[in-house]
Amino acid sequence: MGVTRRQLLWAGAGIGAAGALAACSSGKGGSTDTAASGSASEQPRSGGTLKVGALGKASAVTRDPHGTQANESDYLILSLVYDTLTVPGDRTNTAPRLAAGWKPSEDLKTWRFTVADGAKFHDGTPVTADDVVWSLKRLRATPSGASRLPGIKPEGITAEDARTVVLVSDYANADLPLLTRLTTFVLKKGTGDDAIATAPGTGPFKLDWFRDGNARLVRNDDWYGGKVLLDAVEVSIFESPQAMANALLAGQIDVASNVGAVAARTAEARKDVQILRRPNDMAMPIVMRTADGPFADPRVREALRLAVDRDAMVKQVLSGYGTVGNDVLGTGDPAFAKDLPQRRRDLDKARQLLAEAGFDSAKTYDLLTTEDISGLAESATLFATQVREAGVKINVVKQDSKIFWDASWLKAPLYTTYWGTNDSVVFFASKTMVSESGQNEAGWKEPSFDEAYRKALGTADTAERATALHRLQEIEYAKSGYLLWGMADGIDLAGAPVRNLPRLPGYGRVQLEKTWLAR
Amino acid sequence: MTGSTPDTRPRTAPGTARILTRALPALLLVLLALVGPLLAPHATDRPVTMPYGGADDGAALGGDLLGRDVLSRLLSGGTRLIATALAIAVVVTVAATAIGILAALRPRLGRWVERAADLAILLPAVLGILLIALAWPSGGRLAVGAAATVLGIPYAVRIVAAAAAPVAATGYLETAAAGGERLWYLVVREVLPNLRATLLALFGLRFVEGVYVVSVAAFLQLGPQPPEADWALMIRENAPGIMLNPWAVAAPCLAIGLLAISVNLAAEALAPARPTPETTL
Repeated sequence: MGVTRRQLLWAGAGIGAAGALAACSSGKGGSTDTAASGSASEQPRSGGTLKVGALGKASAVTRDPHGTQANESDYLILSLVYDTLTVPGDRTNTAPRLAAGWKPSEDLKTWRFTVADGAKFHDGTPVTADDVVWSLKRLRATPSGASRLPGIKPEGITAEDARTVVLVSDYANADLPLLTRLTTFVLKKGTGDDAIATAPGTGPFKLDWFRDGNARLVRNDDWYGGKVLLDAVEVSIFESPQAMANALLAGQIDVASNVGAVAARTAEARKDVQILRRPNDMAMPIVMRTADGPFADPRVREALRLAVDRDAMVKQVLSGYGTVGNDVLGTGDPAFAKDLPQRRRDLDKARQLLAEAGFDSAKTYDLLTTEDISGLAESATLFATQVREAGVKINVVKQDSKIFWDASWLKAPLYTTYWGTNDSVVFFASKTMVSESGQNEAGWKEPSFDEAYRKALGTADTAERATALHRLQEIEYAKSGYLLWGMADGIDLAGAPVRNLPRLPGYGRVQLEKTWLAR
Repeated sequence: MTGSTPDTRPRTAPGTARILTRALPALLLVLLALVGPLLAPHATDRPVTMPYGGADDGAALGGDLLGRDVLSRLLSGGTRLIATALAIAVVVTVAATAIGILAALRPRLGRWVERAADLAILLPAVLGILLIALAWPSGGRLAVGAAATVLGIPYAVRIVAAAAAPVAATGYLETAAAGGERLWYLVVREVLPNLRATLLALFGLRFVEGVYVVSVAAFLQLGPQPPEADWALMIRENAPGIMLNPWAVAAPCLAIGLLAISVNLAAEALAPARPTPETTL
């Protein structure tokens, strides 16, 4: 599902997706997903109102672009009204948006972003570097600002001239533009907190009205990024994926965003519904604590990685709407190491490793999980069943979401986690695996990994950087605390006339400016 | 025991055959729940088909949310539910009988008992169960069972006390009491035999109530935890796929419904004709 409590901690570090190069898989059961690709024979047409359903809870509605967007619906509305400096791209991790371009200094510490030509707020005022600086500083001042703009202090955000913004990082960071995706929404300088709800943005759509999480947005004819095709977008908030899927099947909405595999399979029989699969959308790894406890021995972790039946996990937990993982996070990154040998199930080897490590098979180990997203608790249940065959007894403990994130996450020896996006390899490394990372889920401290990470970040040369990135992934593959059995597809349902919906996983799915209706 | 009022014709005990036919569904279900795990064609925790896969040769009732065999889980999922409900029914009935008869024989104590019961009845059962289960998170089934027992007793006490009051006022009982018989003798030998019908009916009702309470708790995820096969839990966890495989939800629903109805029928069939309070004994 969507942005959660936890994602606020790192939203801004660039949620979203690395360009997914995965081949488009066509929907099954007679449904095709031409919506995504948009067949070449059709000329995009202007006009029409697209009704989009998105998940969210009425109690968590937020209007602040720099706040914590726990609702997918809120994030969708905000990203249509406001622009970030950069967005997830389909060929590169980072594509230009309000920032038309960026250039690093020699030492990769100072980055200059240029504001796009003709960028105007909805009230007609041109966007200046001052507006951007003010917005970034406001973002940096939020409670999670330090993790949203890592390595950048408030005084490191300055305007050089009317169209150039300078960001200074504490350390060399070749991936800094990636950090400006997804939460760097730009508002007008000096917008007061009381005027946030109606503050003009620069995005492809203007806010018409907003009521309890539902909103209507109308086209911004002056958008600097090109012609917007839809007249309007109406966003409806839904508490449950089932309700949203039912609304789509009944024709009340045109798009059900991020609806999940079960709803998709329910819709398979319908010829008039398009099923859109966005590969590499969500990771649901199992975390094995490396710092201490029963899984501190790398042989035990290896044994569990060999004991899990990945194909069965993808088939049973994700209904087949997903791909098998290889224990390295960031599967959609163009730099992802596809050449690492795919781990397969090998129970004999697993048992042997457990014996070598002196693992206590008599004990029962708790695997902590929550029901935050569909499939998470199920994955834990099935995992427990599978590893029992290798002689590891696991008891699944479902915890209340709040208790889980407060007491178990980052601390427990064995738990499930999820990342509602599939970002770059470097993103996951910086957030969850480097020794000093704030959300080091497995308590992993590996000097060789840290070294590879710093080398990858501080290298401007492409080939050298690729080598360092590959080295980083090899170490992660061999020793990290993650067991990534698979990647879930993001699944949207769309009515027959919808064309050219975004294909990107994670939060790349909110870019609706090129979507159009063939009716 | 069975008396007849002058204005009604004497009722005979129902024929054995009729009792059997009415009690049969309940017996069969209980038997099935006991031996069900042995009949299950598959392991309850192994996927055999697609998640929410339709009914086919591999799985007679299709698959559940992980593609595990619904039929196997259905056969294995009733044992603990029935055992818990049965335990609740037995404990509640026995405790309520003792307290209720005491209250009838000792009116001063009785007044207090009834007032306390009236107060306790006002507490909604589900609320009480949630409270107890949350205060005792590791209790699982035991916590739910204990909660259901404690909350079920007051209501049952009122029924027993009301049924025992006319018996307590009868001449033969007063004679026995005056003859210096001990309290336990009065309860067991004089009052109990006259309350058989009430108690059987009460037991049946308590069992149904037990099934209902344990199921509600399981549905609210108190008590049994996945991956356990449990009828109420199945209803909850398979609800999202009801369009893909309705059996995953409908089968356990039917099982719980049938169980409640058939036990009620059986209890009614076994109960002798009820003497009304006006019955001349």
